[in-house]
Amino acid sequence: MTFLEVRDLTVKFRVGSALVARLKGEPVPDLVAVDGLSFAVGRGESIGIVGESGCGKSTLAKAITGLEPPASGSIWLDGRELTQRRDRATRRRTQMVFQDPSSSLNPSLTVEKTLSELLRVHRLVPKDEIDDRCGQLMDLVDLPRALLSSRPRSLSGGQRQRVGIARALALEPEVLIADEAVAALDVSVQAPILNLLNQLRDELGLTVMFISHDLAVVRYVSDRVIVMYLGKAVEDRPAADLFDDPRHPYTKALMAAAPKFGVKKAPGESALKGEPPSALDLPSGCRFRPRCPIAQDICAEAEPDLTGPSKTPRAACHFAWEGPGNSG
Amino acid sequence: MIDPEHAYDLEPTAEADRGPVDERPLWQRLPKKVWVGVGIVIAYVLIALLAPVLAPHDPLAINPANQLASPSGEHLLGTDQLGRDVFSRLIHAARVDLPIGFLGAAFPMIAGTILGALAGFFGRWTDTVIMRTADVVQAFPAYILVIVLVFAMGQGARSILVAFTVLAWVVYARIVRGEVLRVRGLDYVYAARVAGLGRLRILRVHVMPNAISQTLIYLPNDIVFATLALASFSFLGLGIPPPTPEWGAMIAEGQPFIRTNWWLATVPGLVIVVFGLGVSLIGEGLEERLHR
Amino acid sequence: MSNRILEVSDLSVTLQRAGKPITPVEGVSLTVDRGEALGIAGESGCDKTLTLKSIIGLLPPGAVVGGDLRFALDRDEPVAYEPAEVHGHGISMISQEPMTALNPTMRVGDLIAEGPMVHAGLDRSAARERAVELMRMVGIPTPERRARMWPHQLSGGLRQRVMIATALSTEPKLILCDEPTTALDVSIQDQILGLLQDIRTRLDMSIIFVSHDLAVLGELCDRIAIMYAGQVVEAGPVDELFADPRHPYAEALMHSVPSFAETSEELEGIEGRPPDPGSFPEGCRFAPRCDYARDDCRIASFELVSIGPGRETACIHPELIGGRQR
Repeated sequence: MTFLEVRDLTVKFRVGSALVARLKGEPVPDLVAVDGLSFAVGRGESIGIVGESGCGKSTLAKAITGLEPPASGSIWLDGRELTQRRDRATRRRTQMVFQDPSSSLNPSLTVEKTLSELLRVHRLVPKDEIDDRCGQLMDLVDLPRALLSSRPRSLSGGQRQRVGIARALALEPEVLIADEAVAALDVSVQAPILNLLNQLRDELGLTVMFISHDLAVVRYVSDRVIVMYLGKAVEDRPAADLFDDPRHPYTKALMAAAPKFGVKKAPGESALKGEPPSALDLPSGCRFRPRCPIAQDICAEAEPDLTGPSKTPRAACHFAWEGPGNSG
Repeated sequence: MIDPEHAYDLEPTAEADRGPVDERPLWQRLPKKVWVGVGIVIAYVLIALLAPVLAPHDPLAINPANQLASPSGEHLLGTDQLGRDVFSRLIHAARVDLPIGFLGAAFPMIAGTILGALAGFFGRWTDTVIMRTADVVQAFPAYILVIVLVFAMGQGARSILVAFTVLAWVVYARIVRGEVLRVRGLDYVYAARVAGLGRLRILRVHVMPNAISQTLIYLPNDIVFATLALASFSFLGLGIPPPTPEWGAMIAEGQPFIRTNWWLATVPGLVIVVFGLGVSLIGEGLEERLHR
Repeated sequence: MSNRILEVSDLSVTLQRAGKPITPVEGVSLTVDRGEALGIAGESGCDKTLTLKSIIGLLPPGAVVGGDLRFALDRDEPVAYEPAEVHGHGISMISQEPMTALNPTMRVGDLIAEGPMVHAGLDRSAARERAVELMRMVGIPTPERRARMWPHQLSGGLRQRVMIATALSTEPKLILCDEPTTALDVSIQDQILGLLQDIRTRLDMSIIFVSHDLAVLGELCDRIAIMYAGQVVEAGPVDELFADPRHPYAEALMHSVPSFAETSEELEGIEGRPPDPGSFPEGCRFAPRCDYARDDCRIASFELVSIGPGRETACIHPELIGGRQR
C-alpha cells in the first residue's frame, strides 16, 4: 500500500546568471541535484537513502518536506499530491531531524519554548495541557523532564539530537526524515539514538526515511535501501539483499570501499577510481560510466533505466541482472 | 619545554573539553569591567538628571566683570570668556551630550536593523533596493550632508539626530543583513519552515534574536562615535547653537585660551573621554560574552 | 639494532584554560616500530590530537609537557629530541581539514616544494621537480598541470593527497595522521587509506593514525591504543583487541559500532558523558560509566599493565569483562 511516492522528481539549482548564459547562447547554468527520481514507500516502511556527497540525498529530503520546489515531477502523500503551497496541516505530516546538533536548535530558546511553540501554533493541545505534552515528548525521547528549562548550549550533542527528534515528533508526523541524524555524534552516542529511532518507528507507526553516507548505519535501521549517485537512484533493494547481493557496479564498489567492522578488509581494494564528475558536466549515457570497471560501449550511448525483475528490486545498469551476481 | 609565564589559553574545540557550561543568565556572566562601565555611565546619567540641583550657578548667567577667572571656591573650574561658571556649564552640558549620544546611536540602530533584516530575510528586490541605497549614502561625503541638513532644518538637536540617522544606519544594516543571511541557512530555521511556521514568526522568534548580537556589540562603540561626532560638529559650529552648554562647543570656546586657561578646553575633553571609556568597557565585556 | 623508532613514556600535557591549569593528557605510553601502523582510537576530545602534537613538538605556547619522548631520528635507537629537530626532518603530520591545512595563497606545487627547499637545501627547480614526482607518487593525475593550481581548485580528496605529498616531501620516518579521512567520502577514503598502506610498505615508513572510526583503524593498523579521558586504557594487536577487548570502555565501543559480521545484534551505547578535563574523577576515570565497576576501581591509581605479548590494559578487573547482565 503506497503511502509516500516520488514520481520523476527533478530539483535544480541555479548556479550562474541566466541572463549572461542566454546572451552567450549557452544553456542556462542549472545544477540538477535530483534527476527524474521515482520510488514508492509503504506506510510504516523504513527506507534508507545512501550516497556520497553531491548525490542529491539531502536535496531529496528538502523537496519532500517542502523546503525546495521541484523543477518537475511530483511528490505524493497518502494519495494526494504535495505541492509547494502546503497548508500547515499538510506540513505537519512530513518532519525532519537534522544532522548538526550545534545548529539544529535555536540557541535563544529553551527546550520547552522550542517544543511548545509548535504545539501552540498548530493548536494541537489546549493551552493548559501544553506543559504536560512537552513532558510526554521528553519521555518519548528518553530525556529527563528537567532539561525542558535548559538552553541548547547546556546540552550534549546526543541530548540535542534527542530534542531535535522530540521537536519533529511534536507535530505527530506520519513521515520522519532523518538527514544524517547521527553523523556528527560519537559512536557510543549514535547507538542509543539509532535504537530510539527504531523503537519510535515501531511504536508510532512512522514511515522513516534515513539518509546517510554510512552503509553500516543504514543497514541497522532500514528495511529497504536506495543507492543514489549524481541525482539518480542506481539501485533499490530490500536491505538484506542489497548488502548480500548488490547488482549495480557503484553499489558493489561502495561496499568494497566501505570499512567494515568485524570483517577483515585491505584498504584501497575497491574498484572505485577517480572522483565523481561535476554535476554540471555529466558524462553521456550512464553517469557512472567513467569510473565503472565493467563499462562497455552501450554505456556511453544509452542511460540505463531503473529496472528489475519486479517493481523492487531494481538497479540502473545495463548488466545488473546478468549472471548470478556476487556478494558485496 | 615552554615558559608557562607566557601561557596562552587553549581554545577547546571539542564539545567534550569546553568545561562546565555556565548556565546563569547573561547579565550574571558578564566580566567585571562591564560593571565598571555601567557605573560610569550611571554616574553620568545621574549627574545629567540632577544638574539643576548640583550646579552651583546658572550655566547661562553672563558676568562680564568676572571673565576667565581661575578656579576658586566660588567657581570650581573658573569662568569662561563670558564670565559664566564653567563647572555649572560642564554638568549641564551632560543634559545635551548624553541624550544626543544615546539617541544618535539608537535611531540609526533601529532604522538600520529593520532595513538590514528586511534586506536579508526577504532578499531579491527588497535586498537590492535597500543595499544600493546604502551604497549611495555611504559614498556621500558625510560632512556635506550634515551641513545641508543643518542649513535646511536649522541648527539644533533635531537636525543633528536626523543627520546621524540618515548617515549611520548603513553600518547596522550591513551587520544585520549579514547575520540574517547566516542564520537563515541554519538548520533550526529550516526546521521552523518544515514545521509550517509563518515567515514573520520565523523572523521574529528564530532569526532576529540570533542575528542581533553583533549589533549589541557595535552599539556601545557607536554611542561613543555619536558623542564625539556631536562634539566635532559643535566644534565646527554646526552643532548645538550657543548659548546652550555642550562639551564640544566648550572645547571650541576654550581653545583660544589654551595657554592661559588650559582647563577650559581640556576638561570637557576629558569628560568626553571618560564617558567614552565607560561605554567602551560595556561594549568590550558584551563582546567577550556574546562572541560565539 | 632495535626495530623501534618511537618511545613515548608517561606523557602528560598541561594547559591553561580560562586561567586554570588542566591536564588533558596523562600517563600516556606508546611505542612504534619501523614500518608499523599504530592506531589511536577514542571519541571526541582533544587528548589524541594533543598526544600527536606532543610527539611532533607543535603544542600551543604555555603547554607543559611531562614524561619522556624518544625518537630514532638519525640513529638506530630512540633518543630524546627537541621539537625543532624533527620539524621538517623525521616526523610529519597530516590533519583532518585539508581546507584549512593548505595555505590558500600558495600554489599546490610550491607548497610541496617548500619542505625540500628549506630542509634538504634543494634549489627551486629541483624542489619543483621533486614536488611533481611526489604528486605522481600519491596518485594525483596530471601532476605537472595540477602543481600550478591553487588549493581551492582541488577537491577534498586531491587536497588530502597534496597534504600527504607535503608530508612525504621531507622523507620522514614517521607520519602522524589526525583523522585524515573523516571529512572524505567513503570511496575517496578508501583510496587514501590504500595510498597510506602503499607508502608504508614501499618506503618502510611508520604511521600513527588517530581516528574515532574503529572500522578504518581495523583496516589500516597493526596495533591499536584506545584512549579515554586523556589516558591510554588498552593497547594491543588490532584484530586481537577487537575480538577480545580487555577494558570495559573498549568493550563498550565494540558493542556500539554497527558490525558487518554480526547483523542481528542490537547496538549498545554508553550511558553518560566523558569527564571534563578540568574535573577528572578519582581512581579509574571510566568507573562512573562502567558496567563492571567495583569499589576498588574508584580509588585505584592508573597503571597500564601487560596482560600478554604486546597487550596492555589499565583495567584492574579485566577478568570481569564479558560477563555482564544486560
